[in-house]
Order: sequence, then C-alpha cells, then structure tokens
Amino acid sequence: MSAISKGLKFKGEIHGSEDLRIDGSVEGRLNLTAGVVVGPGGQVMGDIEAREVVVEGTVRGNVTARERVRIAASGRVEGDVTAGRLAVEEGAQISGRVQIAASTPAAAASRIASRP
Amino acid sequence: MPFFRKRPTPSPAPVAETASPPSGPTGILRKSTALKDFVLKIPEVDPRALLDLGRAFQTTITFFADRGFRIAVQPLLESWRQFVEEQQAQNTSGTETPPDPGALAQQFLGRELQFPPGSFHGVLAWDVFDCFEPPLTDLLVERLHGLLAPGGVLLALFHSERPAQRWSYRVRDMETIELIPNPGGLPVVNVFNNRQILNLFARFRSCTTYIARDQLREVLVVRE
Repeated sequence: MSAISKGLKFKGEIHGSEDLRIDGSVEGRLNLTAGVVVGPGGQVMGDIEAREVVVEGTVRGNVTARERVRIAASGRVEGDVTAGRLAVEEGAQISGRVQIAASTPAAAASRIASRP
Repeated sequence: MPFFRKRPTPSPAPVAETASPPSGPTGILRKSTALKDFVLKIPEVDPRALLDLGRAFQTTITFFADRGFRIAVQPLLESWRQFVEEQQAQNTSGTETPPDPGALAQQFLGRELQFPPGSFHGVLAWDVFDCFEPPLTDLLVERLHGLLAPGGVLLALFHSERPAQRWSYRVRDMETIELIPNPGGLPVVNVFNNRQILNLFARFRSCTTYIARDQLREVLVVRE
C-alpha cells in the first residue's frame, strides 16, 4: 500500500492500481483501480474514484467507488457519494447526493411491499 | 491485505450496509403515521429523489435506497451553524452594524440547497423550521416548494413547546422514527401554533397535522 503520511501535502492528480492511504493532505483528483483510505487526519480536496473508499478524515469532492464506500464516525464528505454499497457510521457527516448503484432482490421486494 | 480489514485499535461498531438489517436502536423509537403517509404519497416516478435536511444516518439512507430513491443529504442546521460562525469571525471587532436578518437568510440560501427546480419528490425537513428565525423560515419554505416536483411531499416536525433536549431524527422503518440525542444541536427558537403552520405552508396544496401524545407535531404537506 502506498501512503501520503501526516504532514505531507500533495498537489496534483494521482492514478494507479495500488491501495493508497492518505493521512496528509491532497489537492487534486484521485483515480485508482484499487482502494483509498483517507485516514482520520487526512484531507482530500478533489474527486476520488476507486474500487473501494474509506473516509475517516475529510473529503471535499465527489466520492465514487465501484464497490463500496465506508464513511467512519470521524469522516466528513462534502460532495456526492456514489457506490455499489455504502456504510455510514454514527456521527459521519455527508453533505451531498448519495447514490447507491446496486439493486438487490431484497430492495426490490421492499419497494413492492411499501406500496398499498 | 484485505482493504476493509478491521483495525486493531478500538473503533466504532460497524454499521449495516444497504439491504442489510439496521443496527439496534440507540435512541427513542416513535411511532409515526405521518412517515408512513409520506412514503406512500411520494409520486410513483422512476427515479424518485429524496432530500434529507437532517444528519446522514445509515438507516434512513438504506430505507429509501432500498425503495429505489436517489438521496441527497443536506444537514441544514449544521450548515447554518457554520454560516453564523463565519459571519461572526468576519466581525471580530464587534463594531459593525448587525446584518439584516433577511439579507443573511438570502446569503445563506444563496449557497445552500443549490439544486435545479423540481429535483425532489420527497423532503424530510425534520424540525429545521423550529430552529430558524422568520425571514429564513419563510425563504426556506419557498425554496423547498421550488425544489419539489409537482405532487411532491414534505414531512416536518414542530415542537409544541421548547424542548429540554435536542434530537436528531432517523427513519427506522415505515412507521417508526428514531430520536437520537443531539446535545450540541441548535436550540428551538420558534414554537409555531397550528395557524402559523398552516400559514407557513399556504402555497402548498394540502397541509395535514398529526397530533401525538408527546410534544412533537408531524406535518405533511403536498405540493400542487
């Protein structure tokens, strides 16, 4: 796993196929085929696209994950979240649109059950 | 290395994901007929869009995502708190004339709720109207009216007296709202009577009030 450690600031786009952990600060777009963890003190000012995203710090930008997004209790996202699956812990802050791409049989069943 | 492997340090309990059973209640469960009516009255279009003006909660997101909704979360009270803090920081000397409340409200709404007209079919407003002064309350209702699609529905809660404790709200199931303690929440500054509530939503096609034994009135309004 690659890492941008606490105290480091990076400006620019990041592309890659390896997991990335951010405990420092990134200003720019992240586009990874693997996963991204924004650690508790980490800050990202830009959009994130990855397979999986964990937000324990702050993201100001849109978060898109092909599989899953987890926003921890300490996490804050100011932007839209799009994911196949989404986990929001108690205390997490989101300000933006939330779109969950996956549609499950259980979801379809509950949609039908909600109608009179 | 598994990407979502549990960390060795203590962390909050994992929460349920979409289409999984919700986690156990941590607040007060409250039966809500208005919530059920809200869900049933939202226009049957595809896709349907919901605007939640409260905090982001897994159970609320899951409930509506499972029913095919697109969801937008805009924690308006938290945004207002930040806005007021920014205003105060700009006037650290305290010598400037207090800004006009109407102008402040316009400025606040100039940066919040920036969605195209008719974007939503349902709005969960919770008790935000109780926490704003009249100029902002009126402008907010007007903005929400514009954001609702024709036939769209808005659910709001109104206190019948100033509450001793502040709460956040989340959907547990079709007929249950869970009240979560929110000790740092903005105080209630308005206690509306029923006539004032009707006047507030005069532009809407209908306004139904649900009275309960506690101090919360539920109000369901439908856009023409």
